[in-house]
Amino acid sequence: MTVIRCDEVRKKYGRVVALRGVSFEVRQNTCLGFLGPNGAGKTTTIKILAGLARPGGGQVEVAGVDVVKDPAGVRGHIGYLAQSPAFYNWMSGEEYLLFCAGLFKLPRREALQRTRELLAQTGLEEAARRKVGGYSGGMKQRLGIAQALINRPKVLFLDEPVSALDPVGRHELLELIRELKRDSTVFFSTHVLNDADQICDEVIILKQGEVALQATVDELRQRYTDPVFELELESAPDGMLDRLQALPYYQSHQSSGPVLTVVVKDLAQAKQQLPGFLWSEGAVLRRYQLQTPSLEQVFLRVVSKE
Amino acid sequence: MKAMLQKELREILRTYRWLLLPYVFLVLGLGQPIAFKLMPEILKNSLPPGTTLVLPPAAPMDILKSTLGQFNQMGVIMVILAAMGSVAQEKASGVAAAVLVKPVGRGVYLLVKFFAYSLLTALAFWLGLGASAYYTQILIGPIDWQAALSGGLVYLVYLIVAVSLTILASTLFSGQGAAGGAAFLGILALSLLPKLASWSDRLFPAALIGQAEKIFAGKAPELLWQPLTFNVGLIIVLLAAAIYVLKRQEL
Repeated sequence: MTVIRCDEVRKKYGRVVALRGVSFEVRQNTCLGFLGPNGAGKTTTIKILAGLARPGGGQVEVAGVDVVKDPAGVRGHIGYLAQSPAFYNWMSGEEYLLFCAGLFKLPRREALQRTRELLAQTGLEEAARRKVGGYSGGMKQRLGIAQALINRPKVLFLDEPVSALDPVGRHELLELIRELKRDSTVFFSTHVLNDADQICDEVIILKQGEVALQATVDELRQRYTDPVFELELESAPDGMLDRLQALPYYQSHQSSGPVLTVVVKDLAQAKQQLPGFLWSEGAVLRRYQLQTPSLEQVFLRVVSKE
Repeated sequence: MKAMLQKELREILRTYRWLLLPYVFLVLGLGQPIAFKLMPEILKNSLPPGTTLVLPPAAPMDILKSTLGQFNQMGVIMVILAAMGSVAQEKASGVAAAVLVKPVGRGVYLLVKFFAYSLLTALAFWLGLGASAYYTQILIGPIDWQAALSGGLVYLVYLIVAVSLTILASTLFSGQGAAGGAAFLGILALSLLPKLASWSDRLFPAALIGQAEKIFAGKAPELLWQPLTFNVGLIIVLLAAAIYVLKRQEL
């Protein structure tokens, strides 16, 4: 089931075009990484999806509600965490969560219970009674997640939730997001590709206000896999390289020490036949691998493509 | 709505606005009867010995009138200072976005702020005027309490205009200073405008001050309904403008 649908969403700020027709769909319970270079329009898109900004044109639907026509109707179903989360600094973390629960009109008892749950889930129990003004960046980020979850949202929008954190904080937050994606759709933007690689099912790459690519992480790897094999040989018989060059799918090779890199013309054929060739040659292998690009390499290729 | 109102009132308590604003009005209010009481003494000491000084006795209600004069300046400035950040600061920090993405209408968000700051202003005003009237009664002479009450009510409408104007300015700008400056200029404009067209004399906020002074002086107010209706209407227009602006803003 589709929970987020963007259709030809456009947005201009003055004469600057921020979004030039963004279209995509996200299915329920997907963890979607929303990638793109700075200025690609990630934050603008998220604000439009959350009903905080109006699109210049196009249609937006979140959790079955038309966000443009009925921004109030979508608020009960979503959670939102801005790039730099802000709170009332004079409140304690616990008070802030209770206040948020009040905005969703949770009954008092439920509000208390939900607050306690979320403080535990985000590891803020000890700091619960302290003023938010004195929280560290990581604690604020976790409180930001907690306040976004207070209503058990169907869709959770997180704008760069991990970018400002240290490695430990980042790891903890990613674990938290991994848990969240069991019950809700998580839509998060990031420029840390490694993070997206770890927890996302699917990615959208935004480039200059347009969707450059949407695919599952697996598809992406396949699509952007180069026809390159990397072999580490313990021993190779004499003349193997000559016979390798005679193979119909061979294109070029490069060897440095024990590592032999083979580029092929026909990946499917090579996948089938190269192991047999090596076996028949009697080569002793330490490693045999098809080069799979990291998400970062894919990202760079998509973004720099003209 | 309840959560939002609770938050505003608690914020006023926790950030000591509830102390500051009433404190200023209290000091301004107390200052007048005390100054009038001490005036002959002060003048006597500063004049060469042997000079006889005949001062007309100060009428108690005149002192109350001069208290309003104090509120016109410092009081209004303090009201602006207290409320100028109410929207602007929340927008600038981003907490407005975090709150308004949840099920709170932007109209409710603003009206609750207007209500909370009006409440604070009313509290501070009555405290100041009450103290002024009480000490005038003790130090100078009897006060017409009914006139003090009804004149005060008329004057309070003027202060509430200042509150709603500040809320609008705070919505228009995302810097506190800019919002405060705009609110101040707005009040200034509202008091200067009547000087340009005589018909507006009877209507604009300054007319309320005149009417309140008349009531204090024991005169029957003439056509009081005109400025009252106009200014209550003005408050509604200012708030509606603020809501209109906020609904179109991106957070």
